[in-house]
Amino acid sequence: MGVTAQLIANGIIAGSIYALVALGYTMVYGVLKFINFAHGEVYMLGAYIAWVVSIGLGLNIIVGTIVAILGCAVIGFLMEKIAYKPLRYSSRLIPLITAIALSLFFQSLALLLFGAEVRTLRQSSVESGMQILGASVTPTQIMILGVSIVLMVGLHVFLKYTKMGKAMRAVADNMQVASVIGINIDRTISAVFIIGSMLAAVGGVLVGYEQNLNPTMGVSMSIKGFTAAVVGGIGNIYGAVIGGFAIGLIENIGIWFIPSGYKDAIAFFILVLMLVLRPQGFFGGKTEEATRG
Amino acid sequence: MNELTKVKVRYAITALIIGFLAGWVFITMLSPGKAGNESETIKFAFLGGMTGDIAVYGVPMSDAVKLAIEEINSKGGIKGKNIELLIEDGKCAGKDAATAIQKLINVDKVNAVIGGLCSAETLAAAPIAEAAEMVMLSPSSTNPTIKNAGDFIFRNVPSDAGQGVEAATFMNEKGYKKIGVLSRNDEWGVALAEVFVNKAEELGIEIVAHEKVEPSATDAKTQITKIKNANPDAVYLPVFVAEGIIVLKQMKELGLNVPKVSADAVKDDSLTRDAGQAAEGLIFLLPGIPESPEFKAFAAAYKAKYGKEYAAYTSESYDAVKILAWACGNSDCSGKGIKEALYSMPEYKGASGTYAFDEFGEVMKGYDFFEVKNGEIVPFER
Amino acid sequence: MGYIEHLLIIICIYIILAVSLNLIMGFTGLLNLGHAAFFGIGAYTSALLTLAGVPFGIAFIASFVVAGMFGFLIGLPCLRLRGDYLAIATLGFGEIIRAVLKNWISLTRGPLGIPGIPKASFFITFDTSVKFLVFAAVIAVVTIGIVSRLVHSPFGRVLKSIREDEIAAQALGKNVMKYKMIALVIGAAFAGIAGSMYAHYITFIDPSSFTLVETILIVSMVVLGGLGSLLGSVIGVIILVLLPEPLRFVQLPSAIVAAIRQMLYAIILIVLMIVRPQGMVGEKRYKARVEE
Repeated sequence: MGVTAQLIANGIIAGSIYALVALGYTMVYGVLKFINFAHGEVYMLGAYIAWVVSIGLGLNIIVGTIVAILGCAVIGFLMEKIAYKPLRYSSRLIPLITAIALSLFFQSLALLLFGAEVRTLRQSSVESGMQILGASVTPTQIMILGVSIVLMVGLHVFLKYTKMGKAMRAVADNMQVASVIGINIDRTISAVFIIGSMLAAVGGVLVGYEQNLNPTMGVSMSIKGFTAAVVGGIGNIYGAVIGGFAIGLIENIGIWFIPSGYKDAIAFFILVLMLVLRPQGFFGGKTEEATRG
Repeated sequence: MNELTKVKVRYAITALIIGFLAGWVFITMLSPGKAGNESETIKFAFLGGMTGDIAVYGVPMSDAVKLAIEEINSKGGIKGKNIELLIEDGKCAGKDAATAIQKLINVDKVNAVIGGLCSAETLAAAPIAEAAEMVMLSPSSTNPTIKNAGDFIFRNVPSDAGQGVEAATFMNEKGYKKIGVLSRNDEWGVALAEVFVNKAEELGIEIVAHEKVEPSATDAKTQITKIKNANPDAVYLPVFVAEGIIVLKQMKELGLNVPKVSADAVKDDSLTRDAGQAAEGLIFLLPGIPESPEFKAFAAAYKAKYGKEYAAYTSESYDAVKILAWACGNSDCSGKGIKEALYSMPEYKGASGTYAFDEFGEVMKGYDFFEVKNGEIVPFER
Repeated sequence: MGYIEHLLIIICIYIILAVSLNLIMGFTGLLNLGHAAFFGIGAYTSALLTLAGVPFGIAFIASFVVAGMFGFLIGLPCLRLRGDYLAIATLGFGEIIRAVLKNWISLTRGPLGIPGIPKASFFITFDTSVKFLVFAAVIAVVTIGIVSRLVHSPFGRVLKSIREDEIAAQALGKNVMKYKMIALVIGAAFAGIAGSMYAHYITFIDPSSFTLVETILIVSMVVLGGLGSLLGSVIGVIILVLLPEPLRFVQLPSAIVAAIRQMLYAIILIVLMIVRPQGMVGEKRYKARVEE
């Protein structure tokens, strides 16, 4: 039936963005066992950088995207070096608070520089959806899905076949052993932040293009992103992807049945359910990781 | 240093920091201490959300307030005294508004407050202002309960009890029998939707769907899908411009092409600029702004000074200042004086309308209809 | 002057929140990121009861009990989780509770909030700032006293041992789950009365006062002062409540001011975390290298 197809389509498209953002969370957690709350702000900054370049300066959106990706890579790198590295061995709460403070910092920065008005990256006309398998989907939405999938595949290839990718997996698995066999931990961690940030930047640009931008857009994305990461098993890349799509689908199909005011709470509900029933996520490690460690 | 000394040093440093902060608060509190009407200036304050989602309204409104004050001052101020403006960020939250009003009353000793912006701010600050006999005149808080918030609490914007009824009546006239509602999930949207739904049902209209969208949400597709599935003749959209743009765009993408009626808060340049084609045909209500010389003068002045079109509630904010200035000039400019003056104010012709306060400090106003036609916001003949 | 009293009252309310959170986080080692939900539950319980005609004294106690109950309900599934997972789970519950407060309109009026909450009265009505301040200060002191007795007792020692090494504590025959639960419930209950005080002081509550941001603020107060130090909690509260206030007095272009204030607050926190993570008077252990 058309409605079901539409809901599924909505879910998949939303989910592809959640997946991109979730990847950043899960990668950072994988190596540092730390939830980077400020990741959502990187996503937001990506959208704004693209805005400055393509709308503010009038350049092509592709150029804007590239600048956004590079800009966020730098931001991610600096974030780690300045704020997180000194705290790498502190008790877990301290980096958490720092991350949250950073998130607030970036939001204020965006507010200061860009003001609170809503903006959009696309000023061409609004498209009518095409009918695909009973659902109304726009070309832009298909592009989003396509880009996300390409990036995820690219990440998989990177992790599996490149030297740095393998180093990341090694560090995530066991930092001490990795360092013993000669992997440069600092560089690997920086690379993790850089790649995660770049993915988030693309996510931000895609959402800015398809929907709109505002300084607080990172906040709700943060929550959905890391819920997706947890659902998939935090630390697990493939899990993050599946988690992203899962959250997207459940959210969009879920509010068919319950009042739509609860939409954002659905992600949390799933989160809590997962943690209570299966804290290691669907693809995470052993249960011991999560309970009574 | 041995351990004990280190501990002592730590405590000493901590005590110093706290002492410093407390001292700083105390000293700055003591300095601007003179009451407004004793010193050289009269003090007005604007209390509204200046950060976060709400800043898109708060900032232009505070700009309009500044404009009004400049105009008054350039003409000699109030009884020869200049007006000084203080701005406090209420963050659209009760706690912050309460703290802000406390400061404005006790420390800055302002003469009157233009605000709050959000109903949450006004409702939280009202009891404090009331107890301190400080007048608050809100240009934008439309929650119906503010009517009973206090003797010193006024507003020059009609309660949403009016707008919801007007919208429902209009849609009934148009013959829409089945209506879907998508409302912003905050105190403004929920209150307005409630009034609308009650009136609509009273008129025999069936509300086939009622969904909510979070403030500044970026994705309303599933809510829209639900509404579409209920087959409405038309939709009512009490939303702000931020999520309004998304809703309109996604409605078009999903093929929900029925007539759309919205509310005052969508009036902003970004509506036509960012929603483009999707906004075409949208009708919305705005508390009536007369095509009067006062209004035209305001719009021109605002544009000249800030370089953009006036936004929602800016003309009300501008008028609020002028009304308070009038009241201050026609009284001893104390809280009580201003209050009395406001209740007995004869019709005031402002940029946003003609006002006289009823015994609750409320104003009534007709609503004007606007339409988005060919990418422009134009008046709509009902 | 009303402004000083106002600040002191806010400080007292936050002291109760910080101390109760410290009991859970600093002494028992449980990363509770849902504390604002208990605060909110207490506030709504007290507000709704008094508006239904229940005397304040009873409503106040009710908010203690109801918040504590929620602590228990949330603890049941969550307390067996470790570290970050517990943090996220409590965060999730906190947000769910807030979503319910926001959407269960028939009970809570949702985003419209509850205005006109009656003033607190217990034999006398605390209708002036000074009277309320006395009330708030008394409750704050009593809270500190109770929690202090708790953490300096054998019970408290068990809590700390759980914090240090849960497995060892269990091996020594302690019912770890029971101790964790008690700490969580007591912490939640005190947060509840803080909520009641808040509701009857501001006289208007809405769900936006009980968000994750609020929890983070409380967590910051605890960490800033020093986890595991009650004096630290008091200090942390005072500093973080007073900090934004002088910034209020700096008059710059409107849009800029508020954003700058937020930014400065964030920067100060970040710097403090990097330079002195054990907080002002916290125990040194928090700076040491932590094993997984």
